[in-house]
Amino acid sequence: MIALVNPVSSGAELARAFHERGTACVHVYSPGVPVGARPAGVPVISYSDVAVVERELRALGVSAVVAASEFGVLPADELAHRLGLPGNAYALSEARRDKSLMMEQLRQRGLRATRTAIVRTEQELEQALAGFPFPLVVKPRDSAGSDGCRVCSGPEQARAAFAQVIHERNLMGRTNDAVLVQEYLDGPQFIVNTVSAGGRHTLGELYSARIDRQAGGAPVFRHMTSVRTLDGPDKELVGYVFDCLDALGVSEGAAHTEVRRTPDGPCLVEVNARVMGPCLAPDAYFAAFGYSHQHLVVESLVDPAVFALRDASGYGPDRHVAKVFLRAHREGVVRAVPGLDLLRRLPGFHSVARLAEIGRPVPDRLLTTGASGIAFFVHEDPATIENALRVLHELEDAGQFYELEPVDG
Amino acid sequence: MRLSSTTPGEQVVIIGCGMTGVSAYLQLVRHGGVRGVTLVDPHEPGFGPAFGSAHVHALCNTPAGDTSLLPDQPDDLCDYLRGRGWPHDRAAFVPRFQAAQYARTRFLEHRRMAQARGITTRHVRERALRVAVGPDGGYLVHLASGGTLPASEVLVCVGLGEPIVPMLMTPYVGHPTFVPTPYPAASMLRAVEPGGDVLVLGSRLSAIETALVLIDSGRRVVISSPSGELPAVRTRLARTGPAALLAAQLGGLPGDLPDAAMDREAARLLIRAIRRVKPLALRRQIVGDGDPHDRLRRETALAEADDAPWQDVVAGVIDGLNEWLPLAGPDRAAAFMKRHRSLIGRYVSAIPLDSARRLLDAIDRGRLRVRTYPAGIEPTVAGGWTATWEDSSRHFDAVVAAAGNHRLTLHVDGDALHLDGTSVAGPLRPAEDLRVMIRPPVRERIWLVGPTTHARNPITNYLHAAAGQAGTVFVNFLDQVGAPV
Repeated sequence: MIALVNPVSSGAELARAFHERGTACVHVYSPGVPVGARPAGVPVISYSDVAVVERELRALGVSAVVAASEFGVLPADELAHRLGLPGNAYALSEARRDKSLMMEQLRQRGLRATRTAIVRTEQELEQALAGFPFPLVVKPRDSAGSDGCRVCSGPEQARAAFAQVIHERNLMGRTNDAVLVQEYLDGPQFIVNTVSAGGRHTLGELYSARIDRQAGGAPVFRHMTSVRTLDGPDKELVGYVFDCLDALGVSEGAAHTEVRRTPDGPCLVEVNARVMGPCLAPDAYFAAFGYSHQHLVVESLVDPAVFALRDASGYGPDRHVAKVFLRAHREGVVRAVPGLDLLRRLPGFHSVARLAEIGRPVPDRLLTTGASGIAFFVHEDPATIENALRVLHELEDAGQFYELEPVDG
Repeated sequence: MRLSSTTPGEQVVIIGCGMTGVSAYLQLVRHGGVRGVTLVDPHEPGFGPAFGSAHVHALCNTPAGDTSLLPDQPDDLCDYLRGRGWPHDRAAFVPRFQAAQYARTRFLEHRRMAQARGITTRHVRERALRVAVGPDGGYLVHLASGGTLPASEVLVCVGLGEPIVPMLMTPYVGHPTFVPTPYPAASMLRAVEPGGDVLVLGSRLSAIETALVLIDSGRRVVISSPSGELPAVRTRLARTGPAALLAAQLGGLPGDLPDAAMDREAARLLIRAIRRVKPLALRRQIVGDGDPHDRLRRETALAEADDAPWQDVVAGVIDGLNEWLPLAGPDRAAAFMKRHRSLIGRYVSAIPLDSARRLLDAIDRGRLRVRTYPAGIEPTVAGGWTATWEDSSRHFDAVVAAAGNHRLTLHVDGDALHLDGTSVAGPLRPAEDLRVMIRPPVRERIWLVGPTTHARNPITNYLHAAAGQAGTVFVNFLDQVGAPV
């Protein structure tokens, strides 16, 4: 029996992967996390008192506790620790959630870390601004999906970004009581998805990302494209990520790590000790890699001997996959999706998921929640995918993917 | 035994892998008889800058039925489009990104075919600077990185040179709101916020496409060129019937006619060909006067009513001039083209009807104007521009140059063909079989294909002509000398 803690967002896909395999699971939900749809017959425990949950999981004979979303990272650590089950280092649990502690932990281990200051007041902000070169990044201490994140080119922009997020409710449903001021990492962003078992990390997927910057400094995640073969700098980057995972006590299960390749070498943006979000429709990943992030997690727990073979065989997917966060060019109510036919005819198109609903406002237009649609491309030729993505983004930016009612309509 | 680079077909190097280079590669692979092909281009084969615009309204200048990489399969692009479910018409001008994706798809298919036939394919992601005669009689392609590639034959398939920066703007290169090329569109759009005003310099197809991209994304545009004239409007480009006859007739004219007779004969054949399409007086099918907005409206109406029979002989003009003018010699051919430049520019590169309708819509909504060049243009303190005409001045947030690209002028110096396009000695004229002479009278195993043959064939910035060249030059050579495999 596997306990999945807060299986929402892409955690729902993880739950389905266990179900496909016939693995018995129990879903554990923290207060405030809405209970999602689940396969029939799966028991649900609502997390009220940790001791009670611990008792119930013991009674069910749970053999592993898995953080099944960002909301599940801390409670899964605690439950695994109390149950005496394999899990990530409990003492470093907070450092895997809190980005400033995360960086501090890297620094202590002698790894390149993003310079970070925690700011709670305007006065603290001014002190921080005096010590950081521009551009710099202002973002909530504890959020996700690019929520509230701004790249600021000057103090005025930084003050405005701070005022916009402090004391506001964030995407995780919490109030921002602190804001991070971070050095801006100049260089392309990569995503490294891993699954660890017994402290050994297996590389599942490596992606390069295109992130645009809005006029106000908000980063907008456009797409990520998988890397098929690792060259020298890629190997250095993956090695650095493995070192970060060690430093942060990640020894079991999935991790989704964002890292930038700066002129000084790779530098961590953040480690997320869970499967990648927000959408893990598995078929596109299988078409490219022969597995998905969530299916690797399942394999590591259900069939560890087979999973162990992956280390020996190494990384080398057959085809490229790209995941595109579809965007509307402005706010508005969706009237139609005229660009969909074009998208579907582009070479390499695989599938589309979570399109914005017709008749409703475009949700999370600039966030990385995937709420306004995700498209997948799979092809053996990276240039074909790259060209298709250029066409798609030009269509989106010209306002011809989503047809919107006028803002005041 | 390993063959040296002097053995025909051992190592063919194709320099430039846009549409022309890919067409050459496809035809080489299909023909067989080569051991290896190396493609040299900083861009991925098929995804060169000429078809690099990803915007859905950036259209090819030739219709789908006339945009084939394979001269013996004129419907190949149509077949590709049908295979992917794109609704299309042979006569329609399809988006350029579709043509680029078609080229890439065919390249990948033929790369697999090459592998199956034992032909190695290599792509060197670099710019080639020159082709030198090697010590063993073969060739060495010198790359921008300093490296060299041995070659038994070289096909030079490079396209056009750098974008043309109008004189008006040369003092302002590097200014943040002067965009020296409209490609890629995303970079251009970053220079000006939606709602802004843009001055587009140029009034040919590139400028028109640029204006439509800007207008689509919420900008207001003034198109401006020295003539202040837009091209004519067309619905198709026919290659058969009267066009084919005209091509044969023009191509059959003698090369030694005096200039006045050249003009007279060409005009006579042209008018007769148009009458053959439809007996409609010329003045009833073209609009020779009026302001550019009114002219566009009237010519759009003519195209919609199918009262533009001139368009059915345009392909004949292109093919016929490419045959005939080389016979007249380079100077007289160039003089002929210069005398008729505005006519050729206006009708050979006419506006597809759909684009014309969208231009009219923009004019009617007050989003577009067409004017002659301003007398002056000055940057403002706020970062924009003030353009001044005799009767008015106007503020612009950005200026975009969309006046086309320079032609590359290759030259021979010492023992090498130089590809950097900086020759001041005038364009290099290849021999009749498009081979280059580095050590006259030896015709090297180096061929020019496509736009760089402009000193011999005047209108080759045009896939049909370039693919035709690629299909004959090298393959004929292989057939004559015998292939190594």
